[in-house]
Amino acid sequence: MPQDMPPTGGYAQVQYKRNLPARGFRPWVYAVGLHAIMAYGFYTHWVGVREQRELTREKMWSRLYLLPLLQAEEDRDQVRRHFAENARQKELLGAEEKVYNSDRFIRPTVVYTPSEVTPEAKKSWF
Amino acid sequence: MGVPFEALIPYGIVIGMFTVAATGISYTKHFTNEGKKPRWNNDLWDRQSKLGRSMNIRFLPKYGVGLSHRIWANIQSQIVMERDLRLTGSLRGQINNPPGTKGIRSQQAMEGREPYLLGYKIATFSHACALFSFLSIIHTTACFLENAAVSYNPSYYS
Amino acid sequence: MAQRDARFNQHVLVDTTPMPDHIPKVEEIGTSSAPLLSASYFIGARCKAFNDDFMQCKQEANGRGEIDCLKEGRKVTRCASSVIKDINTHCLAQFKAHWECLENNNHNLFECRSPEFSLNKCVFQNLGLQKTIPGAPEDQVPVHLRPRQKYSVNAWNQFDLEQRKEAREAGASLFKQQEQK
Repeated sequence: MPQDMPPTGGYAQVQYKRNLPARGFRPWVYAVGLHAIMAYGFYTHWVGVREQRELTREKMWSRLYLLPLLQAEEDRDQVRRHFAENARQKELLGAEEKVYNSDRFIRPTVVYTPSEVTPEAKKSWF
Repeated sequence: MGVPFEALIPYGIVIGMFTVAATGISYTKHFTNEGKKPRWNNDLWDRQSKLGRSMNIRFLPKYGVGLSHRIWANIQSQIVMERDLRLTGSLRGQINNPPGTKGIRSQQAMEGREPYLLGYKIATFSHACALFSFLSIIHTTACFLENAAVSYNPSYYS
Repeated sequence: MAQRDARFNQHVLVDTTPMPDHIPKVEEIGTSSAPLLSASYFIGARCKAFNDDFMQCKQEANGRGEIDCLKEGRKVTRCASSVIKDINTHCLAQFKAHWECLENNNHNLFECRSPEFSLNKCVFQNLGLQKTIPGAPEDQVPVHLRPRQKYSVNAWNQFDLEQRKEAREAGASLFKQQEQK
């Protein structure tokens, strides 16, 4: 009995290769496109950062121009209280009490207040 | 086969509660901001303080161009929203009086409950009262009346 | 210095004692934060010298500035009130529009360029004060003259067409001035 042999002309080729149509663009197109989008994004960010810096500068200078004005107002109020406190001390104790061994102006931490508040004083908040 | 209506009741409750809460919050926000858009992202310069804290403005650059010193300051009045409160009686109030108008109050309380705590109270009217509204109508009324008494006190606005 | 919040009673006590007579009186500014912010650059333009004086005095007083610099402080306040008074006299409508816009937009200057442009124009024509931001890069259009603000949410507070044109001309003349220097 003859042995099994390959068919004449050999076996048919085995279909192992993928045979799909290539979709889309070439790979480098994607690479370039993505980089372009990213570059645009970074550029926008850069412009934004620069604008933000200018806006901050604007805000800071507007405050710097107002600062002395507000500070002067505050100082006057403090000084007014300071003189009033001194006068009160003189009236009650006979002399101005000196708490600190220094000439500096120090905002008082403790303030003497009347022991009893009259109804009129309660009303006159301002 | 229809869904029995009992199955939808929880959803109704959930949606209803969200609606109540959202309406309440939006109303209180509107009320506290006097109809203006709320302030946000306030820094030390803007912020109202419950008690005036002095602030160190180290965040500012050097003052002026020709001057080489740093600003050092013991600033209280620069918490400008709190200053607005002293001027107008409201944290969101704005006023453009000519200088020297009678009734300009830029002075601060000496001791005791700070006058601007009242404003703080007005500002928090508000969520407390909204919460009370879940408890009872009496709580809500009491809360509202107290706040109303504070905010419409004539001596406060004189 | 820390300010402690010790409270011993429930009453508000305000010390209403007036300033002693030997210190000259000054009228306090009756203007709140939004109008002040709106007018700040004009205050800076007119009162820079007084402001610098005051700050220098405070610096050199070595901790006694509150009492020693009252005179400079009064000058600062008087100068600022003169600016606000002038703006109120000449440009009240624009001023009001601008600070109301600021108040409604979280005090962000970049949200209110259109009213600001009108205000700046009016103030420059009537008072001769100009808004300049010190230290801004000279090769860029100043941020308040840019027709479009990247961070702004409100399109209706941006420049309109006419303002764009004017701003462009203003920017161009600014560059021309710089080139001549």
